[in-house]
Amino acid sequence: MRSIHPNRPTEDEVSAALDAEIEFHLEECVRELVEAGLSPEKAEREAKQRFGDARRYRRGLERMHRGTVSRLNNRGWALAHGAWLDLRYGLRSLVQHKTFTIAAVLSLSLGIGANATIFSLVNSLLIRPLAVHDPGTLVSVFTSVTGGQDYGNTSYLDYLDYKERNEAFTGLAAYAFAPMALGGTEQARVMLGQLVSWDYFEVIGVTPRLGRGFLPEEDEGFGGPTVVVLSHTTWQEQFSSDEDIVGSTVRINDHPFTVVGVGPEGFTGLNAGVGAAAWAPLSTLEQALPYTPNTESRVDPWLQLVGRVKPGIGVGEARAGLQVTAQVMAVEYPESNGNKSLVVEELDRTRLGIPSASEDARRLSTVLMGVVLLVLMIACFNVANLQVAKATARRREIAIRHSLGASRWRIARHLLAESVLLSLLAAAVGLLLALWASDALQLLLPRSEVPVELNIAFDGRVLGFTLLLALLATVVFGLAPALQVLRRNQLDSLKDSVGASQGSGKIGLQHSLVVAQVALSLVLLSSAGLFVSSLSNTIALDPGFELRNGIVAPFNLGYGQYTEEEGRELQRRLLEQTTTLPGVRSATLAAFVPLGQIHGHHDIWIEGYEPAPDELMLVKRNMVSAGYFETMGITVLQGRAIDDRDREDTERVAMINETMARRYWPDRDPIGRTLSADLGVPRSVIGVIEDGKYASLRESPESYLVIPLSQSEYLERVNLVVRTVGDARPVIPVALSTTRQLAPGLPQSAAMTIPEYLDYSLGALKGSAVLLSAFGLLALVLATVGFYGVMSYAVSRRTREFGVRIALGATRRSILRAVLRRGFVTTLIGTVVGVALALATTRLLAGILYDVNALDPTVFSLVLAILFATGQLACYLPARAASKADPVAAFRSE
Amino acid sequence: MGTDEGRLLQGTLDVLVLKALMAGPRHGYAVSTWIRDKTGGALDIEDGALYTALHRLEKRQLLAAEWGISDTNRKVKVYQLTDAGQRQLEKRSRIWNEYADAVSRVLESG
Repeated sequence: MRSIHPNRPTEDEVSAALDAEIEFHLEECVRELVEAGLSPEKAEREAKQRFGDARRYRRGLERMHRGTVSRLNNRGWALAHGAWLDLRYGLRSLVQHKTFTIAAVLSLSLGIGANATIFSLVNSLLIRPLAVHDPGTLVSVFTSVTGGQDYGNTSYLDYLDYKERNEAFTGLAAYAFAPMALGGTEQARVMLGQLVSWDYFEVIGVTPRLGRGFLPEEDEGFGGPTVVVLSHTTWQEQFSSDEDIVGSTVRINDHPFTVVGVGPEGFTGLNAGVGAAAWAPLSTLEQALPYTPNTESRVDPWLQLVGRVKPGIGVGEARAGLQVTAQVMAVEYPESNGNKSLVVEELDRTRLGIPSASEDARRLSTVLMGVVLLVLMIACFNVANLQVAKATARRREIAIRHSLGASRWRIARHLLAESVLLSLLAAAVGLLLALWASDALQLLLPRSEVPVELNIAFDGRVLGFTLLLALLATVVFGLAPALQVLRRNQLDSLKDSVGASQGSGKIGLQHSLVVAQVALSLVLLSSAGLFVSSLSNTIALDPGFELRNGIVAPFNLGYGQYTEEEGRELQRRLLEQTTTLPGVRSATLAAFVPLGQIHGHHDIWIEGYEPAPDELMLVKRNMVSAGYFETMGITVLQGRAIDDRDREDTERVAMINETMARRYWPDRDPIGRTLSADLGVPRSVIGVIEDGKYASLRESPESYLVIPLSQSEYLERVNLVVRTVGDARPVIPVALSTTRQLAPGLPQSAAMTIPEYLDYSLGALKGSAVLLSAFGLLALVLATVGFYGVMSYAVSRRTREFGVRIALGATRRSILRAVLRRGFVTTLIGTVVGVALALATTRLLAGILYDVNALDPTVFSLVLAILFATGQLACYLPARAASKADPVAAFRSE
Repeated sequence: MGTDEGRLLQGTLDVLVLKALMAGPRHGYAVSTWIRDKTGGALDIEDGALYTALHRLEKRQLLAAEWGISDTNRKVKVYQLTDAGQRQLEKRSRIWNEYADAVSRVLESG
């Protein structure tokens, strides 16, 4: 025997002790009376009668102890202690009702897990502050070009001038994303690194964990010392957290680089979505960049800028100051800078790149968060329904405790404690699910040439959000039963016998919860349906080329050390050898592939065309080898295609698309006309091709220029495009082994089949559609399970009634139909409410839908069909059980 | 219930409870069955009153209570006599017997 309350118990302890003592007494009494042959009901009545007026006695006992209980000299402690007692009670009750607990936790944790997953994503993309010192005084600086990009990058020479001339910043650093083939000893892997000005780490206030950042002398001119700072993740994953790594050599694009530092944990650069794996000084661009920007021109924008505003200067002042600098430079360099101005944005607004990217992400996040909250609500309604069913079973227990004098407040507190525990349990399971699911989220990212991983971290914010949700969920499903106790006269319920009439109010409540679930499911399913149909509309768009059985394989000689001469020769041989491979119909090389992530732009001049004062003479362009149009399946409408005749030493030629032809030669034949692109070399137009989609499937037609690869500047990175005879998949390894033979040192090319490539061009669209559909399905499953539960409960309560009806001549078929009809009506009401809700929420969706009416009849009829089908399915088993009710048993138990 | 009658009954109940615990520690329900068995149900004592008595005696330190685990694995409060309780029982029994003797003598006389 152990003493559980030493000297001065609290009021709660006294109450709990009285409860325990009296409950034990009554149970023992009832047990012995039942053993003596009484029915449980009679035994209970007898036991209570023997006890006398329990409430009065209990009040007397409490009064008696009032003198001895510890006074609340420490109120907080007393409250905490009381809460602890309540929780202990709750835990016991959860263990006692195992089935209920498991069902409720399962339902809730799915809802909470979905929320935690999406929130961890939203947190990483939009909320979590960037890991830099005092982000509030950091700004991003963009170059805006009149008639061109509003938030463009900056050229190297402009950057040097801005840095030198501005007075608003204590520092202005530049950086550029750079795919790098990074390797220690083993095969190099392509990762996304960054080239940065030497003061990058200083300006943003990031101190490396090991070693140092860059020194000014490491960033003087070009061809400086090849040094690198690794990110914490790279250091951990690729160099197994080697503490002595500083000073050792790694290879970037096959060039030796000395590691001078390792970034701090949690810092992956200034982009919240895409992290950098390593940083090298701008001066190493020839080694570290697999392409070569023009550092001597003001028209090749490739740098992103970040500035630290001087203390006491606002962002507005900094903006005004830079504006003046830009104007001065526009006067000094009218040719290149006449149409440029500077845009200054707080760093946090550019955490996903240009500000509109954050807005797009925010819009999608709002939709996704809304969706998962609705899923959670459906889950909560499930638990509420379970609670209602359990409440009936527990009614007796509660009534006894109440009649023994436990105050309503105490009982309500116990019920609430039980709910809180339940949601905490569900939150824990939900977080585990979310940990797993956020890994799975990475799979929804489109494959890309340079592997990109989202930085999803479970920080305190995610934890806090999850707990908050769990508590909110408690309010939704836990408060109602607790309040019911506070309101109802539980003494009455003891007198009730279990009959059909008693449960009817509750069953009404349960049906309204199901109505809500059906309605919410409809909203979710229809959103998913609309999104999927929007996606399939997008997929159905003509990309402007016919190639489907084929391969795109980037071939980037920048990841190794090759001269232009070697490079051109390798590219020529690659094309030659690929063409002869089995299964290959034709092959070609192209600088860019339509719908890819990178595009070239060109300033153009057109003979005989007078541009308007502010007209931007800039077009997208591509450089291709012979056979490109045939391989891609792009129709040449007029003139001829680029072929083997177009060599370095022949006449310079160009091809244009329909839109470009119409724009610059509206009523003349463009063939034979002269234009010039890039270095001002005149070219004559030899052909016109059909319009295509270049950056995204949803874009409207734009001008496009194609020139022969042989007549353009040397490109280290080209795409090998292959048209295969049949299935492209088996051809990939063969093509890759060709590239490996030709250039053994290069990291493996991220080759894709054309369908994979088209998928990847859809970007986040496909992932979002998968997510929305998954949540829609989850909602449907939760709602269906809930519906099934309510129907079987309702039927089980009315078994006797059905038995009587059958005895009175009702056919089993008619009973079956009656139950199904009841389910149908519930579904019907749910769908009506759901359609109304969907109408109210479509505005949120309209922004992310493409070519789909937010009330698309196909989607809605499909969703309605699904809901009615699953609704009837959920009712079928209970209905069959009802129709099997035993008429004899019905009378026997009367 | 009149006050005198109440006081008399209360005194009686206290003695019965103390007596019930003389043989050793018991929980409240066991005390109740003991009294019911011994009196053959002649004294209609409500269980609530019994608990009031148990708690009152515990408060006056005539009983000591401890929590233990029952055969059915439930937490149960078990009472036992203290030394003071023992003395009180003896004193009360003596008084009760003297009182009962006196009353019977009066009733038999005459």
